[in-house]
Amino acid sequence: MQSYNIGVIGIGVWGCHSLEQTLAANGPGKITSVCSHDKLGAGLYGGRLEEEARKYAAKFDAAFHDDWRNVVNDPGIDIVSVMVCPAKKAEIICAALRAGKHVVTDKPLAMTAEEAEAVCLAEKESGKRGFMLAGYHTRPLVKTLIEAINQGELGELKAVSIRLCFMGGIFPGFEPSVRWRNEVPASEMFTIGSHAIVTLLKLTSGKIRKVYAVRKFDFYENYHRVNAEDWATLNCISDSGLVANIKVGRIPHRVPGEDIAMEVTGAEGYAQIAGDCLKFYPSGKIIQIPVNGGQVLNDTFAEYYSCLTDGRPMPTTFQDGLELQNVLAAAIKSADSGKVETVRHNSSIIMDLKYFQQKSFS
Amino acid sequence: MNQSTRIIKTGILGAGQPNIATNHQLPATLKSKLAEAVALCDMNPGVFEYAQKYRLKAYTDYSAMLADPEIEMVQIATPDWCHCRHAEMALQAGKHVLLQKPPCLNRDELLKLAAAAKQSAGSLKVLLNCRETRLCRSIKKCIDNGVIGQLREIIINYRGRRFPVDDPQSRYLKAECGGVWLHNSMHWLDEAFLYSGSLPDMAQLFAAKNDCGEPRFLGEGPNYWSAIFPMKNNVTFNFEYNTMLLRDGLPGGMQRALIGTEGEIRQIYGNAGLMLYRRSKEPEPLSIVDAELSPEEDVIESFRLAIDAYATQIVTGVEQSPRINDSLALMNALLNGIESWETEQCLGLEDFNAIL
Repeated sequence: MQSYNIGVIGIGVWGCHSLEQTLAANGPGKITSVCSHDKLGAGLYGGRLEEEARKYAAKFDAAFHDDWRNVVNDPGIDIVSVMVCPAKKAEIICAALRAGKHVVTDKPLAMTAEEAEAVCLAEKESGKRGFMLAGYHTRPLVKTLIEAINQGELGELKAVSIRLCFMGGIFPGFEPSVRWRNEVPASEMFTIGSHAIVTLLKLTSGKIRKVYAVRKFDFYENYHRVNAEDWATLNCISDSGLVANIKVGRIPHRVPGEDIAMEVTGAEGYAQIAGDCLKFYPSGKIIQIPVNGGQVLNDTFAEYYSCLTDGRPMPTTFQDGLELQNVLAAAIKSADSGKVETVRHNSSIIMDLKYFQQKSFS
Repeated sequence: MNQSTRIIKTGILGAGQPNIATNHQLPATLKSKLAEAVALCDMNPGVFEYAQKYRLKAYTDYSAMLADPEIEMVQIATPDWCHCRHAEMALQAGKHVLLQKPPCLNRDELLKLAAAAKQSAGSLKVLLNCRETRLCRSIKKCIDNGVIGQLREIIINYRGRRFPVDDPQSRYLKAECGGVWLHNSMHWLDEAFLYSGSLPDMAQLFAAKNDCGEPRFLGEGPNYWSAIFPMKNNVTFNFEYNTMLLRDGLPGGMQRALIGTEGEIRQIYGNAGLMLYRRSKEPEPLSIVDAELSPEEDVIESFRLAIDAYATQIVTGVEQSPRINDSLALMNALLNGIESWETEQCLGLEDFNAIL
């Protein structure tokens, strides 16, 4: 069985993140190289970043670099995990792909739709595989719902309602900063919103045509202090006429068992996910599967290796990331303008690969 | 007679067959200690049976009822497309008018209605009883007591069939009537107004249609609406009205979530109870006021409370909630919602008092 050496660029917000660790734990991957630098992140660590990153590298007996190019250009690396701020992603991912590496990242794919398209083109040119971890479509209940939709159980989709909240507070140690807010535009609309939008995109084959979005700071004073948003509401309509209502937020309380609540109405049927239960109407079919986020992540990365081997599409592709970025761009514009905004699609985006070759972040 | 004990005598228009007038408004008025039903009116001769049963006067001519000097307040429960005209007639006759929602169907009618109310010796109130149901009163009480901190998000979803319309020629099925969006949504927009204490600032609506199903449950317009109403005080009202037709219609029910800085009040579909989720606390059921009432009694009681509030207003001269200008502003917001869907724009809502 082929094994993969994993290079890590960006150690995440809390000193370590589960992406490459889960990658290493669920297949023939080994973390061999770690890079972190203050300019790659949101500055949440202050002066402790290098110390934390070195500790992190030592944990895996991996080499430490403070220049991401050393990881990207290391001929021994097969997969690069890019977990840096959205503003820095496109340049690094494009460089990694051009250096012949597979790339794993989380949502969103980049800062802008133009950058996301550049990433997709770089992927295409390189022949390497990109995987963007995002969305709840790999959760068993949502997966079952998507299968039912694809089998025509609900008929043509007409309406989707998604409520996706990260509940029970802010991650310990995380303090929103002005820099973080600037590098993650619209804050939780950009982050949690990405999960909801990707989930929506996986439900429907149509493209989102128009978006109206409201973003707010509702619950956390430390978000409010830096003008960071902890709640967003989106109203979308697709080119097929499907209407989607999306609510995302980070909220202080918990509704036990519920991280995502969904309703899907088609011409022939309706389905609802509430807690660990998926109900279909009119068939009356009920499916109950307890939510186990850790297991979902493990299964997703196990699938990732299978996709690398047999060429199947990744659970979430960079092309999905581009679609997401297009919707996010319109949503952010809408939240700023207070107007309904049109979602641009790829044909209308003019991009220049040289832009990234000339641009330097570090 | 002492002003504080004066009983407001009322006639009910539209009370000739089983409908909201005879099933709810009449029983609620009969229960009221502040209003007294004295007459019923309808073109349908069935009005005589109802009148006889409760020993009330019966009219088949609306103008004749309006000429009855004993009647101080008229309750109007006719089809939606008659509301504006019937209210204008009553206001011109100097009556106080309690008008079923929606007060009108378009902006021309809205302005006419507002002008008629302004010029009349009587007054106008839109009958919005939903805010008086025990569920809404319980939610309001909880919010007012600060249990969920400052209210931020209001999410209300309706899922189910629209009311059946057996006559294929009925105007209720025509686009001009705005479907159930105009027929019912005012209740929920009024709820959002009640909880937030604020009128909408903007209206944005997308809608979809499913043509499958029986014609009596279909109309010319959409049967799913997804609306966002940012309110003036940093609260957002998110409303989905889903009457999509499946073969047998959707399983019915309301779903509500009121999210504040300290927690959330939640009603799940098909459940008459409420749950409370708070920061660092175990979930708990929220106590419901008037829990001993049956669902039907609760509805009648909600009408009685609305009728009593208006009777009190007439007697004291002090306008009770919901104030007419606020209700007309909500109606304006619903009309903007339709325009928003048609134009795919988000529409800002003007100060309705300024329009008036």
